[in-house]
Amino acid sequence: MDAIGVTARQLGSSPPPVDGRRGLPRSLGGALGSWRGPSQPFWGFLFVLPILVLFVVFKFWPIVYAAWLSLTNASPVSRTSDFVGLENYIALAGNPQFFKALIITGYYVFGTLVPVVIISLAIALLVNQKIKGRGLFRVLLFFPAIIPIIVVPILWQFLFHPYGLVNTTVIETLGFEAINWLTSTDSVIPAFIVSTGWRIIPLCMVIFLAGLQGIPEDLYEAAKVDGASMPQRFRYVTIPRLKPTILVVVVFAVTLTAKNLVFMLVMTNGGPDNASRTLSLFIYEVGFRFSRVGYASAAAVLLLLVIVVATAISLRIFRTDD
Amino acid sequence: MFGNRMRSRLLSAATYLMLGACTILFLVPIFWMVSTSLKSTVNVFDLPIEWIPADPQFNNYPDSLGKQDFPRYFLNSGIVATTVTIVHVLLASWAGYGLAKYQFGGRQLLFWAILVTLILPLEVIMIPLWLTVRGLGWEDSYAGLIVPVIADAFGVLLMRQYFLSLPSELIDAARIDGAGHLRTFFTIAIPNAWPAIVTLGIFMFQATWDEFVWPFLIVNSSEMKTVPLGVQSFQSGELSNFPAVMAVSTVATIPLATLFLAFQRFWIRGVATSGIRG
Repeated sequence: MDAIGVTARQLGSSPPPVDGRRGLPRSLGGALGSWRGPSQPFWGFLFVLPILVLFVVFKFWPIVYAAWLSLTNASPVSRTSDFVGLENYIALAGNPQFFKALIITGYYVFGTLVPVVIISLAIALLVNQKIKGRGLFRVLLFFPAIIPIIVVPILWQFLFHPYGLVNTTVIETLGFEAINWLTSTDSVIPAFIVSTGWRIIPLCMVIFLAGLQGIPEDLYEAAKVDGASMPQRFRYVTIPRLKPTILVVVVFAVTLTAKNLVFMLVMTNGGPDNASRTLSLFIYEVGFRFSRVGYASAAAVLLLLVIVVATAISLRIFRTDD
Repeated sequence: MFGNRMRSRLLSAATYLMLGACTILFLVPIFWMVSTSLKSTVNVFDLPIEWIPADPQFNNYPDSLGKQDFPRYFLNSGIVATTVTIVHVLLASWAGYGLAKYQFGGRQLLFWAILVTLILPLEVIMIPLWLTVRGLGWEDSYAGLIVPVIADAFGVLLMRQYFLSLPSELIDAARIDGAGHLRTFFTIAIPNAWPAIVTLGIFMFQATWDEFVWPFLIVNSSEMKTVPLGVQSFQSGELSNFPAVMAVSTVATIPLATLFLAFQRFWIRGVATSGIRG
C-alpha cells in the first residue's frame, strides 16, 4: 500500500502550479469551512467515466479473461475452449522448460536490478554535485533513454558480435579471448543485463535525481555541523531520505525487466539452448506461436503473481514509517 | 594532509573524471551506430575502428530506406502517437479532475483500481487483450493500435495530483459565477495545468511512438506497420548488412531525439514523475 503513497508523493513533488493566485492564505480556505469540492457526485463520476470504460475493456477485463482462459484448454486453432480446472497449472508445475524460464527470468531481473540501482544512484549523486556543466552531463547521460526501444537490441546485437565493439575494445584489450556473447549459454544473460542497463540506468538516474533534490539542504548542513563525514552523511541522511525513491526505482526496474520481450525476440529468440527463454518469451511462444492460449494464460497469471510478490517484497524492505 | 581547498579541488576533479568516463561509455554505442551507418559493408569490422569514416557512404540512407515503405510507417506512427496523446490527455485530465475535485461513492476504489494497473505489464495480458481487440474486429487497424493504448494509469494519476494542488476556491468562484461543470473545467482547470499537460503529452507521445510489442501483435499488413515494426522487419531481412540496419535505426531515432531536444525539461520531468510506471 505504501508504494502508492510513494507514487503520489513523487507525483506531488512535480511541477509547481504556475498560477499566481495559488498563494491564497490558508485561513481563507479554512474560512470556507471544510470545502471538499462540488457536491454533485454525478458530475465527478461523469468526468472519470470515459477513461474508466477503456480501463474496464482493456485492463480489468483482460485480467479476468486471462484468469478464466488459464482454466481452459482454449486454442484459436482447434477452436476448443473447455473448462479443464487447474490442469494447465499442474502441467506447468511438471514442465522443466517453465521452471527454467522462471529461473532465467529471476537471474535476468535481479542481475539487472542490483547494478542498475547502484550505478544509477552513483551517477545521480555525481550530477547532483554543484559543479560547472552538470546540466550538460545530465542531458548527455540521458541519451541512451531516447533511443527507440526496438533499436536497442538491434544495436547491441552488433556490439556483441564476435568481432564487435565489446570484444575488440574491452575483452581483447583486457587480454581475454573474444566471446561469442549471444550464442554461448553462459554469456547471453550477462549480455542482456549490460544492454538493458545501458537503456534504463539513465531513466533510474533521473528518478534518483528527483529524489535527491527533494532532500532539504539544511539536513546536510546540520549533519556537517555535528561533524558527520561525507560517508556518514550519505549513510544517515541520504539513504533514509531516499528510501521511497529507491522503492520506486526497484519496482520500475523489476517490472521493466520482468516483462521485457523485445530483447529476446530480436537478439536470441530464447537461444542458445533456451538460455534466454524468459517467462515473457515463454508466454509469447506458447500463446502466439503454438496457439495454446489456455496454457500460456496460466503462465501469464503466474508471471503477474511473480511481479506482485516482487513488488510486495520491495514494499516491505523499503517501507517508510510515515 | 591536504588543505580544504586542495581537497575540494581533488573531489571535483574526481567527479569530472567519473562523469566523463560514464558519458563516454553511454554515448559510444550511439556514436558507433551513426558511424557504422556511413560505412560500406566490407569496412564494418576494420581495426582500428574508423570512428569518422574517411569515405562516408551517404547513399546507405536512401538505399536502405527505399527497400521498404518507410514514409508510410512514419505516417502511421505519427497518426497513432498523435491521436493517443490528444485523446489520452483529454480523458486523463477529466478523470484526474473528477477524482481530485469531486466527492462520490467509490472514488477511492476507482483511484486504487487505476493505480494498481501501473504494475500490470502488457505482456501479462497480451493474450486476452489480443483476443478482445480481435473480437472487436480491430485487428490490423488504427483503432486496434490506438484505443487500447489510451487506457494508461500514469496520466490519470499525474493529472489528479496536479488538480489536487489547484485551489478549490478558484473552482468555487467560477461555479458561483454560474459556470457549468465542463465550462469550469475548460476555463479554470485546464489553463492552470499546462505544465502537467505538456509533461504528460510528451510522455505519452514518446511511449506510444516507441511501443513495439502491441503493434507487433496486432498488425499483420505492411500498410499498418509503425516505425518500430518497420525497423524490426528490415533488420530481420538484412541481418548481416550492418550499415543498412544502422542507417534505418538512426533515422528511426531522429524523431524522438528531436522531440527530446525540443522538450528536454518536460521529457525528463515526465520520467522523474513516472517512476513506477512499467
